[in-house]
Amino acid sequence: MANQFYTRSVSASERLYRLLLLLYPRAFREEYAAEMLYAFRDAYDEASQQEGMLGMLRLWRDFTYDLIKTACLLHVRSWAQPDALRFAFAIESAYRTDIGRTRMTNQDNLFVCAPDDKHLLQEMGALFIVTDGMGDSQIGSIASDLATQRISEAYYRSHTDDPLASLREAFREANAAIQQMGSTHDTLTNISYPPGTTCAAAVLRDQTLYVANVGDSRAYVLHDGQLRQITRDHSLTVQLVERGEITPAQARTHAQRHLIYRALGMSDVEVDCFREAVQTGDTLLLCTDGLSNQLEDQEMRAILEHYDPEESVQRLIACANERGGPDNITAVVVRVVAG
Amino acid sequence: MARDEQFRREAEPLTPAVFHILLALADGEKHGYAIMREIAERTDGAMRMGPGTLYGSIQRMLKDGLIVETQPRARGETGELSEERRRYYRLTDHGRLVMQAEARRLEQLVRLAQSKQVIPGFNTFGGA
Repeated sequence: MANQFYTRSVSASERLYRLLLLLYPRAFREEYAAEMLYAFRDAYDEASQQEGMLGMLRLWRDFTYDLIKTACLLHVRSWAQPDALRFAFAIESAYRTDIGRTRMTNQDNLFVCAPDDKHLLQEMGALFIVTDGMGDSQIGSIASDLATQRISEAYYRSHTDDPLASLREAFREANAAIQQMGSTHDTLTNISYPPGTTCAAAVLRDQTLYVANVGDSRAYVLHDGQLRQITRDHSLTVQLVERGEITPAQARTHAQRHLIYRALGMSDVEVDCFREAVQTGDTLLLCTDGLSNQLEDQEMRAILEHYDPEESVQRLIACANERGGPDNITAVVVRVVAG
Repeated sequence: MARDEQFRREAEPLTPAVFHILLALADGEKHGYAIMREIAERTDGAMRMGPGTLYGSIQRMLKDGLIVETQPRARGETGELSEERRRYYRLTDHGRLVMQAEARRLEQLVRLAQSKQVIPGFNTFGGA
């Protein structure tokens, strides 16, 4: 009977202590919670066997005081040195934009930033952007360049703790800048199409991926051998596929596959936002349609799964070029590795 | 700059928790609870270190290179108790030097206290 009571009490005490460990900063908990539970269990066993109920009560008093004191201390330490305690992973990235085989200009653009300042990296995360400009002559590439510039500046200037809110605001600023540029160019050069650009941007912070998207550039995540498209294209062909009028394979070669109904540069643009948990070993791919129109998802998966980011980028672009390279091709590959 | 900072930090007295952990590891590697237990025994229960103080200090000491984990560990789920995955720690050479320096610092303090006759020492003689 006493034995039964003891077993129940140990198990209830362990559960309670495990719950109390939630008071510690997450990174510390992930590193030491299991060890602390071992220590708790051993100490509890010893105290209850040697001193009975009195020992258990003494242990709870001492450990509760210890827990509250050190949890507060470690939180303060984690604020003072966020990189040492909280940045528990690292990233490897590779990126490239290629003109392809048939275009005269490259209207794609990309931006990659993992700040050297670890505090900034911890607070704001690493930012990756791909854009695919549209418009007459060089104006498309100016629009895509302007988008990457304005979004990156606006993102790292923002002070909110919500990366998606910061991205949304950054997209809004870029949109206004492209519209402004379009109206200036309109009067100067009498262009027939207003400038615009697609944009897929991703922030990787604290093992969470935040994605914002306008147009048909894409974000994918490779997790556990499965490649999943995070973004949804704002294109005519996707609407046709969703209505069952054409197949995904037909969409890749459809005459109007480049037609999109949302782009930066439009008067009022809606931004799609996504949030995903990522783990060590996961891979992020951002790309323009010059890649995703040439390679099947399974082909991209096979490359990303078997090669490191640098080799993956080389192979993805080479593969799209081997199939004619009818459009500009841009790929950013980011792998989450242990810190 | 980083080196200066390191020297400055090394010259600072150790916290009682860190010094006790170093002493507990002086005669060989131990896991967390064995460290807690040795400290309690050696101080006759005067110093009972809780898991928070122990692992908060261990985290700092690993970072400062005073101790290392002795063997690569398999990483389990947080809070997993089903398998024996305890981590063992041992002193580094640097940790041993820091421990000796702290012991010497404390020894000097004790000599100072003795010279002021705060506590009896070798050069003080009580009685007639």
